[in-house]
Amino acid sequence: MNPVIQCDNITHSYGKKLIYENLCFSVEEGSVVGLLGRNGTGKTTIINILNGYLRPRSGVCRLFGEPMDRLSPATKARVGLLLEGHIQHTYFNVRQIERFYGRFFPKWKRDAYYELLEKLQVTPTQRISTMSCGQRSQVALGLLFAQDPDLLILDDFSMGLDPGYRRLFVEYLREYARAGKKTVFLTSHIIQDMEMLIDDCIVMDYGRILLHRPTKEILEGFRRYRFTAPGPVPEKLEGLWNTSAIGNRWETYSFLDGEHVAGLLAPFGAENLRAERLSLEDAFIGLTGKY
Amino acid sequence: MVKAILYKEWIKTRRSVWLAAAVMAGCTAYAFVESGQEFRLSGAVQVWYGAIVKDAPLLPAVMQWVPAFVGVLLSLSQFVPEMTDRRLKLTLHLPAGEDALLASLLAYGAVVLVLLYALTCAVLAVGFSAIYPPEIVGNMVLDSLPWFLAGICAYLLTAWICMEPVWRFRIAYGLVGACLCAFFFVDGPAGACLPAIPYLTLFTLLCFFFPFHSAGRFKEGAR
Repeated sequence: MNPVIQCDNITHSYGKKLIYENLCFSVEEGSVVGLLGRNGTGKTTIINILNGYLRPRSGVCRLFGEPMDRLSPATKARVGLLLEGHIQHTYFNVRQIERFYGRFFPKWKRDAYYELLEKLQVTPTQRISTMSCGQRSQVALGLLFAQDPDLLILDDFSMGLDPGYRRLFVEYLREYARAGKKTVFLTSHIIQDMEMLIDDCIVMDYGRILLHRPTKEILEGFRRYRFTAPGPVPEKLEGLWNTSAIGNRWETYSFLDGEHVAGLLAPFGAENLRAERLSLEDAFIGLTGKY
Repeated sequence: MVKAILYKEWIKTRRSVWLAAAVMAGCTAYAFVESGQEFRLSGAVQVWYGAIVKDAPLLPAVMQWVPAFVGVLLSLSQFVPEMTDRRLKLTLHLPAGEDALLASLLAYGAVVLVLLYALTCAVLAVGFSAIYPPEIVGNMVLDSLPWFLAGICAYLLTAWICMEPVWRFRIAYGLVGACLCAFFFVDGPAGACLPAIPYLTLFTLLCFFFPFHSAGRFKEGAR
């Protein structure tokens, strides 16, 4: 299967602060991939690089095989972009913005836009500048659905949304992606929303990718282990993630099963070892640490 | 594509365009009122003598700054919303050539200004031709041409400054722009600017490419 997004050896820094070094990943056609990372790990930076709004120090990203800084109009028509904060042209009203975008896209589905907006308490002549962030998010989503792109790139789609709008956004997006076999690449701070949506997770740490695996594999295989130990346990042990303690109560995270973890911890006098299943948010904390 | 861009720019700037039209109309009316007042106070012979022998200007001094003011106003109303929250990304993401998109934005503003200036110039020429001979009216139009070119130049240079992503560069461009615009306001006797007009026109056309430089820096993510 051809990758829709392909990033090869991306290195970028802001001044002396290195953001990534030789970052490589790809997104396959028809998959929903979430880019997770703590603040400052460069999630928005990668979205900017992907769309050609930032030139990295080195490396190249390709969308549908075209380099990011030379995307053809035909490829741009296949890419739906949601900017962080659901940024839109706020001087338009609901009807005007649809009329404007509709002239650019050959597959424009006007009805998809108005169907979604019918659920909102907005009039066709209401200006976008007078809308709440939640209402604006639905306008942005409606425009994306009407564009009917093959690839959706969503930068922090949950930013500023209350739980109701977040859920609405996720449900519509999930339905849209599954029904149309669309590729979606998204970032969000609210990881519990991602659990319902994404097939694959890319977890970023400062300067690198920590993990790129199917979400199901993480949810089924990654465990938190709690145990007690009389003395110190090394923070870094092969196969264990973010081992830490409060008093003599310890916790660690691992993809290994209980038997293997017990074997690794035995030299340190670990007792009362018990495994816990994790939500995606807990797994994210386990992978990236609390601090 | 062009129709959609024109639609967007009109929605965005229509209030500013009406304001600019009102300013131009107000200044035109003021020029006629002042001229009429001079005829009443000094008499036709004195005014004609001043215009023919002493090269006294027909238009009030404030008129020379108005086209530049209107150009800056239109440019700000067009490009500040594009740069707020970096919305220019939305425009550049549209499925069309980026240079063609940017050229359409700039062409919209330039055409609006040319229409406003042409209308103002025509009204002034027709109005003054009722009281002055064609040679004097012709000189008035020629002498005011650099001011109108300055308006278009100010529009393009303001777009260049607005689209620049780095503030310290904006300040530097602002200073450069002010110096460049000064060439359009050199004093001289009636008709003295005639030899400079082709060069000023050429320079104004050259300014059309300056905003592309800022847009290129915006695309590269300059900080």
